[in-house]
Amino acid sequence: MKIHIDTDLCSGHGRCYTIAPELFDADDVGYGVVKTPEVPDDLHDLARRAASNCPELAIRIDE
Amino acid sequence: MTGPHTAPKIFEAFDHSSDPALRARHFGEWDRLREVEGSFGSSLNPDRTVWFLLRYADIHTALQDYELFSSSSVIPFTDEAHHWIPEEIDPPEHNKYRRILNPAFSPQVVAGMEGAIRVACADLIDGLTGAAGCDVIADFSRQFPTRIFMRIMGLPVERADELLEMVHNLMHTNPTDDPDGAIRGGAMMAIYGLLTEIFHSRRAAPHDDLMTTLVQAEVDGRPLSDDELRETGFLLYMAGLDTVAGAIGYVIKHLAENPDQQRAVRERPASIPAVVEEALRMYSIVTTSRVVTRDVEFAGCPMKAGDRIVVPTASANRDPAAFEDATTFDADRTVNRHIAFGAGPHRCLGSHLARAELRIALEEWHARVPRYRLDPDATITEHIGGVAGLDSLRVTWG
Repeated sequence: MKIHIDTDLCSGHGRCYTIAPELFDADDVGYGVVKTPEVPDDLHDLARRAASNCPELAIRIDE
Repeated sequence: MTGPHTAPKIFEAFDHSSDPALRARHFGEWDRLREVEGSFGSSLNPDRTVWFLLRYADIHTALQDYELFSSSSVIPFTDEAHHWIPEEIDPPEHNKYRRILNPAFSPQVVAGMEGAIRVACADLIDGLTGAAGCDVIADFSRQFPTRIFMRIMGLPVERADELLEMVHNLMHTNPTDDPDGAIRGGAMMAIYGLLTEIFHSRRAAPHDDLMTTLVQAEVDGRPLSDDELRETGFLLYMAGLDTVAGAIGYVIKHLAENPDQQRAVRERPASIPAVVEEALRMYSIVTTSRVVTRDVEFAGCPMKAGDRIVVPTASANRDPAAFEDATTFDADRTVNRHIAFGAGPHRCLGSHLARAELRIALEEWHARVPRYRLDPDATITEHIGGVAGLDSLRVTWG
């Protein structure tokens, strides 16, 4: 599984790195950045949860 | 996404800030309007139609589509001379101003303030537990975020009461009580005057505060003009002093009315961040507005360039098409894509600070006050406009 943030859509709500700090991080002003682009098997659910809580629908998951 | 097949209704004199049913039933009335109308127009201003969008999908799309729906005015019914920064600027210009402000409200900076926020919060609450109860709004929810925000901005903390009154007159005065706009206009002038005074003093003697950051900032290689400073300071002032105050009121009211959930919060402080998210969803306080930039049919509404849309985040976030059991307070929901802080490029600048303040408020409140319930002798009234909130919330201990 791969995760990707559409930086045109991300507006810095910070839900991804709050819900899944293993996979996402904040840049220096709070926009989301992918920390672990290749998601380990045991974090697939967490990745889906982060994506489904993004108010901008900015996270894409390639399974 | 498209509206019902019947044309949306046009209500002659609808204004959400003075509508009697909304003032009486607030969130429940948005629910009813969304279900019955979906979208509707108001012809209160003869020069334009003001369209109310009530579904999550429509509001979400509208907030993200800044080319179709411009932020050039966020006041739907009247023409006002202000040009709030960064709220009333569209991309790409918007980013030049937002860039100046973003660092002061980053998650990292907010995390560094956690201790100071907690101390200010605990001090206030400890002053309340001696009596039989308190007014959550006057004694706590207006005081707490104000103190934090004034410190960030560099506003004179000893003048907190005066500053709060100016915001109250500006934000909570509805057209019925202020027909010629004199109260709101006077408050706006007073706030502009105070901000100008502080900007001048920071230019002469810089401090470690946001007002100093602003006088030292540059856009396109030049410092901000006096007008730009005032418009930025004013926007921050309104956004910072009135919003968390409103949100705290609603979540404390909810927990006062739901003793089981109140007990759960007290017994399991680790659940508080999820309670905060759910309260933000169920009791969203912001209703913003946009300018339609070209003729278009959107959400079933035949919009003309120059018309306005009004988008109540409360209505979006309680839409059963977007949330399971939308009107049930469920802190355990795993999907909560609420847009209490908006969506698109204007996402609330202070959202990280607001979330931290709400979390700390609930943590310290439940660590320090005994069981509480609504005072049965008190009536609760609300103000509804750009930012909603309770006018007072009397609770008693025990």
